[in-house]
Amino acid sequence: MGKMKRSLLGYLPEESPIFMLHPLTRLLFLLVVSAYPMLVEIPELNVIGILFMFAIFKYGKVDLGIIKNYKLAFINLFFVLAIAYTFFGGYRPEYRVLVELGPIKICWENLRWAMMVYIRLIFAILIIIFFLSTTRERDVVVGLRSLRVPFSLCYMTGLALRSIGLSLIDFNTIREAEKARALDLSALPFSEKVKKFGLYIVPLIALAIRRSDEVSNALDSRGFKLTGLKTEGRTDYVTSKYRFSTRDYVLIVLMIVFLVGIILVNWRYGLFNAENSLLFRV
Amino acid sequence: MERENVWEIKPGEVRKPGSIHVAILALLIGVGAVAGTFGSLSIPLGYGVTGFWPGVAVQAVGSIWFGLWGVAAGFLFPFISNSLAGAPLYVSFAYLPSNLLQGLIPLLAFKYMKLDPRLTSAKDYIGYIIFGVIINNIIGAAWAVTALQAIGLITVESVPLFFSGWTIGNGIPSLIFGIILLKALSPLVVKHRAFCKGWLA
Repeated sequence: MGKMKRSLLGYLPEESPIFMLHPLTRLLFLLVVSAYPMLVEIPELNVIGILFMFAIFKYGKVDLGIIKNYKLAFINLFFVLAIAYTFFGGYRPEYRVLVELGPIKICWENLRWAMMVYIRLIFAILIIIFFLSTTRERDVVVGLRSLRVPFSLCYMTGLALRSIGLSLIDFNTIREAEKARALDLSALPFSEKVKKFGLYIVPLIALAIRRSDEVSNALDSRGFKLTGLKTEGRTDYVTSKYRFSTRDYVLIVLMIVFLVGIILVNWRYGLFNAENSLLFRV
Repeated sequence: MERENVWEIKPGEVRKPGSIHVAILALLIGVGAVAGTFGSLSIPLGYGVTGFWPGVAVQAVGSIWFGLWGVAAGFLFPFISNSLAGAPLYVSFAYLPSNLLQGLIPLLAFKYMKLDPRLTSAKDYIGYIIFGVIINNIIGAAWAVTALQAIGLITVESVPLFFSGWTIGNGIPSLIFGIILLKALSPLVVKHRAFCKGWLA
C-alpha cells in the first residue's frame, strides 16, 4: 500500500487525484455542490447526484468503507422519515390511502414525499462525507486564506479543527483510565451511559481549560494577536505551498455555472420542483 | 453574610480579551464537537436532531463561563459535530441561530440576574434550569423545526415530533451535565484568567 495522507475523517492515498486540486476548490465544492440537493427536489436528478458522488469517491480513491460508518445514520434517517411522514404526514381528502391503521391513514403522497426527502438527504450527506474524507485541517485554513478571510479567523479555525483531534485524544485517554477502573461505557445500557457520561465530560473540559494556558502561551510566543500578526508583511507560509491551476478554474466555473443555472431555471420555470418528477405521474 | 458577586469588576482590575480567549474558543469547539458527536451518534432522530445531545451542556456552561467566546464556540461546534454525524451542510447552517440562542440565553440570565455559576444557592439552580435548560432549548427547538419546515424537510404535522425530540434531547443532558459541570468546575474557572466577567473578558 502506498503512502497515505490523513484527512478529517480518515486516510487518503497520496496519489489521489483530489490532491491535484487547490484546497479552495475543495472548499467551494462543499459550499456550492451542497446547495444542489437543497434546490433540486426531483428525486431522479438527486439519484444521478448520488451516483455522481459514488463515481468521484471512486475516482478520488476514497475508501468507501468510510460510508459504512454512516450506515446507522442512513438507516435511522430512513426510519425517522418513514415514521414522520406516514404517521405525522397529515391527510387531505385528495390523498390516496394505501393502508388504514385505525385513525392513521398511510397515504401514497406522504410516502412519496418521504422518499424524495430521503434521496435529497443522501446526496447532501455524501457531499459532506466526501469533503471530510478528502480534506485536512490545513486545507480548510488554506481555502479560507485564499478567500481573503482575515488571518486571525483562519488561525482560529485551524486551531479549532486541531483541537477536535486533541479532544479526541483526551477522550480516549479518559476512556482508558475509566476502563482501568473497571468502567466500560460501551458495555453499558444507554441509561447507564447517560449517567456515567459525566465522568467523561468533566475531565474533558478540565483538561481543555488546563491546555488553554499552554495554547495561549504558544500563541503569544508566535506573535499572534486578535487583529492579525504582530509583524506585518510576514510570509503566509501555508498558502505559498499551493498554486491554482487551470483545472481549478474550470471546476470552480463549472460548479458556479451549474448553481446559477439551477437557481435561474427553478426561479423562471420551476423545472426542478417535485411536481415535475416521474413519481408525481404515478 | 453578603453573597459574593463573581461578575463584579473590582477597582483596578483590568480585563481585556487576549490569546487565552482565542485558545478557550478553539478548545471549547474541540470539546463540544467531541461531546456533540457522541450524542449525535447515540439516538439520531434525523437532520442532526438527536434524542440525547450532551453538546448542549458545553454550549450553556461554556457561555456562562467564557462570555461571548463561549457563545461563539457553542455557535460553531455543532456545525462540525453535525457534519461529522452526517447532517447536510445547509441543515447545519439552518441550525446556527438555534445554537447561538442556546448559549446566549443562559449567559444573559446569569449576567443580568447576577447568578453564581458555582450554584451556591437555590436561586442559581432555578435560574440555570429555567434559562439554561428550558427556555433556551425551547427557543432553539422552535427555530430549528421552523427552519426544517421552511426548507421542506419536515411536514407541519411532524413539527411536534421534531420539536419534542430537540427539546427533550437537549434538555436532559443540559440539566444533568450542565449542573455537574457548573458544580464541579466553576470554583476553578471563576479564578482562571479565561473567565469572562464582561462580554469578552
